[in-house]
Amino acid sequence: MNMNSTPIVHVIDDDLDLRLSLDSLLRSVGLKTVLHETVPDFAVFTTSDGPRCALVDVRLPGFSGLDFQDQLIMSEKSIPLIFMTGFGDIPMTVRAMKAGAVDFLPKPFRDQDLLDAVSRALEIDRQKRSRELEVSSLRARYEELSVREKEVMTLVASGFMNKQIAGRLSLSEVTVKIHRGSAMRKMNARTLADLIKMSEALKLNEK
Amino acid sequence: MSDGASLGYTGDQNLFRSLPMGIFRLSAKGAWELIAELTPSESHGEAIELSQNVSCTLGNACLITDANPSACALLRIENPATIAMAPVASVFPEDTLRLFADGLYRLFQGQKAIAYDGSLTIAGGGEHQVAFNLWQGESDVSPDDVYLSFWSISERISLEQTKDGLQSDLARSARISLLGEMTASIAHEVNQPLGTIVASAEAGLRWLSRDEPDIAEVQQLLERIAKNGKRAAGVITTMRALASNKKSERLPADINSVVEEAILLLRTDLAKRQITLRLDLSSNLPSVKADKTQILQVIVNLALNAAQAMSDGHAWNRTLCIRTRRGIADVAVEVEDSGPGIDAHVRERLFESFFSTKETGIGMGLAICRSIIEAHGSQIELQSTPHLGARFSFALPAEQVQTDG
Repeated sequence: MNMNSTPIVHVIDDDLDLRLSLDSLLRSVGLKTVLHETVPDFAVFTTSDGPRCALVDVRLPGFSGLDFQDQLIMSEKSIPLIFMTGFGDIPMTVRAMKAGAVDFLPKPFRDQDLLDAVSRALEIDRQKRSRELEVSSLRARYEELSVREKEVMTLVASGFMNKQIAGRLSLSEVTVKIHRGSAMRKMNARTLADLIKMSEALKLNEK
Repeated sequence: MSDGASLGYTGDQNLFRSLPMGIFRLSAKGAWELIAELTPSESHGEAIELSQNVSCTLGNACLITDANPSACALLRIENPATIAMAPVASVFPEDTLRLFADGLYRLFQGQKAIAYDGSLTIAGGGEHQVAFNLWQGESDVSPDDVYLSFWSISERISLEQTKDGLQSDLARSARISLLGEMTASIAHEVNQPLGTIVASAEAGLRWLSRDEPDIAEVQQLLERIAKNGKRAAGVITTMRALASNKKSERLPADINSVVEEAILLLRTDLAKRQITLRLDLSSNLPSVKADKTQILQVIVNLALNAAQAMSDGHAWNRTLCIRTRRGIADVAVEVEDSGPGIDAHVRERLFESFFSTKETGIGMGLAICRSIIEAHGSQIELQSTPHLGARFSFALPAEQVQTDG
């Protein structure tokens, strides 16, 4: 994954002329665009490397902008959404914002408002992506651990003392310390706090 | 001529005097001779085109030989002697004179009785709208006598005008309330092109202020601005047509363009209700003679009802289909939905005034649609299948009807 790829803005509106004007506006500030007349397949969003966001008309015929948002949330393939609304779409707007839309723009909107919202959305996606990148490298390192090291790391992160872990795993306390030390080294954790944070990011937890 | 005995009347004289309708007895001797002269023998049985001059000459050749008191009263003639032996042309305005001459001609051809509506000139100015009957005296007794009876229909006409006026006021108020229902949709329809215009203009400014301005890009943006300005104006024009209170008039209209105007107003509303629109418009349709505004109103009303039926009925498949087709001598319009259909008991009362199945409806929409289509000499027909939808259709007479020979 390349964090320096050109950001891509997906424009989803059934009105061709509006789509083309937004396309021109976004290209004028050097952004890449992909235009859609109707809600696109999710695959479209997983192929790009750089940060992305989508400008969606709240009132698309057939599969609406809100339906699209619901589906994104369900599929956990989130992408920051900016809603464009026409006249009298207040209830829809409220629903969209509650469900986590970055912003909504009542038509006709100022170009600066649009570009601000887009850069905010792209920033959100960039941060989210860097977090995801971090987690995936953590996950890769975690997979390098031996079974015992994984067990010890999980129990340490869950707040057990060495002595308790030794009891649970039927090991000597010294052996636990060795596993723990090598897990910290392999995970690149300098302190116990680091290791605990990593475990949280990896969602390791011993019930 | 006030002396009944001198008129050769005996038994019927009292009736002639006392009838509440006006009657003229005319001597048509001169007129018969004229018509015989004017009509070539081979053209018997076919109508001749009566020119202004011929009508005038025939009217002058018919002399009033008697008038009953009702006739004098209606025409405000104080002294009956003043019209004795006067040409009948003197009591007719031009257009009625032509109808009279045509009637005479048809009597000459053997038709028994003629009836038409026209007007009479009142002594001292003004006109009276009257219904006429024209017949000939018995052929063996007095073939030269022609009788013209008439009675006032001013009241009937003013009632009809009042009714037409009320109907058109009612239709207009329904249009206004229809517009009210569609405010959000119309505002959106205007807003959409405005959004494009603003975004295009701002994009254009950005392209121009670059180090190397992109003229081709700006040109495209300007074209889009112009196009969308016209689009917004089109919505406003259609909306104003619906709000207008101009007198109802029948002019040749292209039904497909009326459907397209209706769509202009309905598009957003349909999108909001997640309804797919299917247009099935036949090309090369003849134009229809119709009041375009009222037909627009009917189509918008039917489509809006269909849309509401589908979204209120929570229909899963929501498709609105508007179809135009050519009939033998007419053009049919169909508005079909995929809603829940219409219950039999609702169907019976569907077109009644103040009948509504909607909580907020006042129940005038369909009643007015029906009266509009009936005023166009047609009917709204309804087909409905439970759970599959309803179809409203009506046909309007085509402007140019092809005739054989």
